[in-house]
Amino acid sequence: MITASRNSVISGILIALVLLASVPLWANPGWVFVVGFVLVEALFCLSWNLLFGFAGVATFGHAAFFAVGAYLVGWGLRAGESFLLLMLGAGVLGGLGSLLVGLVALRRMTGIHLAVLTLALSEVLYIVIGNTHALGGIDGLASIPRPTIHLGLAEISLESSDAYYWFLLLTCSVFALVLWWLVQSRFGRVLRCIKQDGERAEFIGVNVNRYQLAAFVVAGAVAAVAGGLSAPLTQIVTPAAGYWMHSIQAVLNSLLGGAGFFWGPALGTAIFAGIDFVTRTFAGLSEVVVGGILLVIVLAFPGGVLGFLSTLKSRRDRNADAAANVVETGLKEPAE
Amino acid sequence: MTVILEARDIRKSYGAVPILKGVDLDLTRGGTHALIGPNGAGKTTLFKVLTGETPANGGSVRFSGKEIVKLPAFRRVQQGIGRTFQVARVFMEMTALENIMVTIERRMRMAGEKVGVWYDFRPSPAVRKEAMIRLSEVGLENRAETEARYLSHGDKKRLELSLSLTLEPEILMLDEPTAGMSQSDRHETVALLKRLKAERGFTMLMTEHDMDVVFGLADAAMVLNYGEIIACGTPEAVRRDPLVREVYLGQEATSA
Ligand SMILES: Nc1ncnc2c1ncn2[C@@H]1O[C@H](COP(=O)(O)OP(=O)(O)O)[C@@H](O)[C@H]1O
Ligand SMILES: [Mg+2]
Repeated sequence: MITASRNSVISGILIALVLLASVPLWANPGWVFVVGFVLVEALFCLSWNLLFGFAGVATFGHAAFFAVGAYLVGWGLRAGESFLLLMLGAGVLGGLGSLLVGLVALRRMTGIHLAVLTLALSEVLYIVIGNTHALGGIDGLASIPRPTIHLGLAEISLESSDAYYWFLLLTCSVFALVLWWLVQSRFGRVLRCIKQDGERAEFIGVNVNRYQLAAFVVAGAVAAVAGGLSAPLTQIVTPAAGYWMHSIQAVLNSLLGGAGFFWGPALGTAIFAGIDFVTRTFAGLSEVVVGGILLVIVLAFPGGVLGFLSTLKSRRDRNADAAANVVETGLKEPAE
Repeated sequence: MTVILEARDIRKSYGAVPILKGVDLDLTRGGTHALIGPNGAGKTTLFKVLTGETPANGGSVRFSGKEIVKLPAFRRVQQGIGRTFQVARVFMEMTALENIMVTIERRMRMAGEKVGVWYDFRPSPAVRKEAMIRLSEVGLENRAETEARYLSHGDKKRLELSLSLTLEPEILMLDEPTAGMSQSDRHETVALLKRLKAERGFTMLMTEHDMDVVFGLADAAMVLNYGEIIACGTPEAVRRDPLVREVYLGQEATSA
């Protein structure tokens, strides 16, 4: 795999963080909301791609975990519960939920079977939520209040949009970095083995099932955290949070950005949001543009945008090498 | 001579088709055993059953006295059974060095050794150093930074061999270690296997088509035909067996 040097990745991350943190200082509230929304979706997509891009497990029902987190936090905030506890609960519930699904599914299923099973389970959850009055049925839970965080003596109010945005940025960044770290760690190296050749991994003594289950639990927990963060942002949670379209959006974002790259899904999310924004006044245009882009991606750049860029870079490096050789020989020849 | 692996009455069918019809097999500790037989005899299938890649339909496999026939593959690996595949399988998108490093980390993990903190971004220098040594053992030191998928066929096989040996298995099962190799590569592989075997003293079971390889390496041979062992003994004795000549060696044996 071609990877950018670690330093350039780290400086890229830092620049992105500074830019994102400054958004409320120069953009209008509508923009702050949109960027916050993209951050949540990006974290959701990163958690999906931990499975697809790094553990070799494709699921099509990841939005279910997002919905679990969103509903728990939305419902709890309306009932006046503590926000931090609710977020913790969202992570735990998402993790437990995916542990259950994983225990049932991962042992016997791979490939398309697993994808369809997760899709089916998420549809069940979607229907159950839509028919549960306590969760607002098909209309969902509206007027979710923005929280205040109580830290012993100090209180941090997240009631203003800007304050909540910063909290969101902080939390999303922390979780994204934890995922990134996980992918680079020894755990991540084993996952990569499993993705490249599960059988070979088994024959170097890896309990493939256990590792995939662990990745499944982490992905489910982080998706639920992303869902939890979304509730006070949008202040409304509807069953759409767990609809299959939402799951597929994670797939599309990741493929567009580049599923083989850790930050690919985040980039893909941002690009999709940009397309949505540019085409917002023409009904149906965004679907056409998105469809067209996906066609191009799948046919011409299977590695996504980052895959395309890294091919360009390696080609440029090769040309630079060739040029350097020319210069070298050019210098040598007169000396001979 | 002690028996390290003892298989009894191994049965395996794919659907209604019986592939292994009650195979018995003994591996002596430290021996080099060749499993030969015509194409489609069931050699690879027997490997799959012994290593746990696919479940047997019946029979028992005892390894150092313990029944392992129900264990999943990774547990058998943890107990000391290593293998290569007929078509080399390594981690194709990792460099040769990364392939070995990740395997070393696995071995240390299985042995309960401290591998370093789990969140380390890269393998420790000691792991890297050992990996380089292991690569040079099989002549791949100049290929360390090459992604495995760009390696030649023979180099892939060497990498897989090195990777399997990195786990320090007690038994190494090699499915056609010289398949698809040129004559000179074949000689090299035989020499390499001999050397590694002499250094480490593991027990070896291999399937092989090339009789030169079998006679060059093995001290015991078993002939599998249509899912049944029809002869076993020293390679010489097996070669002289009339039944074996008839079903397998054919002209090759008569001309020899
Ligand atoms: N997964 C499978 N499903 C059905 N039949 C199989 C499968 N694998 C192998 N076979 C059949 O089993 C027989 C033995 O195959 P194999 O063990 O690969 O033979 P060998 O390695 O001795 O050449 C062949 O007839 C082959 O077609
Ligand atoms: Mg075979």
